[in-house]
Amino acid sequence: MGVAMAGMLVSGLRTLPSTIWEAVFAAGAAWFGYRMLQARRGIRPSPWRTSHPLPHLVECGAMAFMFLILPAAAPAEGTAGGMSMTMTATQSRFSFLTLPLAVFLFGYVVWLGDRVALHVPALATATGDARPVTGSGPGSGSGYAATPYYLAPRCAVICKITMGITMGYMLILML
Amino acid sequence: MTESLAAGPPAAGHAVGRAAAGPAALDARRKLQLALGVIWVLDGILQYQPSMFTASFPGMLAESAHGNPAVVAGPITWSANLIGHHVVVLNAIFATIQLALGLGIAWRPTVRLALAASAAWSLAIWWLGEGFGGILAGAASPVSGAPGPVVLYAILAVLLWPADRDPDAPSVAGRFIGRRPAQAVWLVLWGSLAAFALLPASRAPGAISHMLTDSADGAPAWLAWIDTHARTGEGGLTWAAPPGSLASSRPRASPSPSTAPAA
Repeated sequence: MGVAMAGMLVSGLRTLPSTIWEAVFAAGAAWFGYRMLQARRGIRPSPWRTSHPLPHLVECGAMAFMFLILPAAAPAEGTAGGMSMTMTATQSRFSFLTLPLAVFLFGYVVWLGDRVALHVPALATATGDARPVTGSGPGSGSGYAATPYYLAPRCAVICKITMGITMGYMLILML
Repeated sequence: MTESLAAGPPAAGHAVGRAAAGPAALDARRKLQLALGVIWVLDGILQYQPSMFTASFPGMLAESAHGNPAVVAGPITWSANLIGHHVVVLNAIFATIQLALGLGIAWRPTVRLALAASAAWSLAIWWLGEGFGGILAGAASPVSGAPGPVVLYAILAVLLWPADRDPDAPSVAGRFIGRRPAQAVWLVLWGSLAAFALLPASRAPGAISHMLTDSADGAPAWLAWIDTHARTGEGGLTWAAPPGSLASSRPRASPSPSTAPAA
């Protein structure tokens, strides 16, 4: 996802055609949608899978949306500085989606920031068991949270925060 | 004074104990704090838009000086000139500050610092960026954003301060400042909105229509569509003063730049 975003922002960093990225993120959205349904049914996630699939579903959907809305912008309008994120009048009909998507992503970023201080102690006391939780948050539909197995939990959260802010910025540019 | 769950940096032992019991649940005040954090992050990202790195940004700030007393307008003009000379650097700093405020509110160890900074920054923007929402210029109107959206951030930062002076208050807003002061704040806010709606700037014929037109200018297509349709509907409203009245003879004051700087 980071590679795809870099390619959208800076034309020199484009690695794959837009159609491939669209397929990748559509598949990702389908997978996380399936995981959402599983969570709704109360199926416990395995410890190495995320217990919050909703943000990943939205992120994949937002990426697919951006690639679909701006299909030809990158090669046609890309300059040395990067691609244009502005839309034509026809494309701007869908711009009403960008603000709620961006707000959701910023909400996810802030929610992650709230959790940063909690990850390290959780790792220190990790047992590998999934346990019921009462907290709310993005995608908390299963009622279970797996103990994180990240080797660098804060680094992982900061990466997610950076990705969320960058993707939100790209969406805001499309307003 | 008791401390809430979200109050300040937790002790190490406490943090481990809390983590062992699972991720801390979010109480209503913490959720509202996070909502304020989201708004600051959104403001910061809006401030990073390419158009904010151009001369239009200090120009927008300078407009808020119009109609204000000299003691208010002077610093606004001075800051707009300063920003105009270093717009790239200063706008980048402003955007980063607002982003940091949002993330600082989100990160529990810095929530107090971020809320205090949020209140101070909001008041600075209220003056230097919004000209106090046009209150002193006689141009205040709820339609144009008066009394200024950013002052609400400062109020929220105080109301959501993570300490409990009145833990039994019926609302989150009263837990820190007390239920009576919280009710007074609520009364002043809505009372001022009602009062601004009755000012000549709002009651003049076509005033609201002009404000909506100004709002639609440069807005995304879907927002402009809403403004346009609201403007069409505004023709049937009875806010407009009768022709020949004092209100209708008054020139329309320029609307407050309620979005500057991206707040």
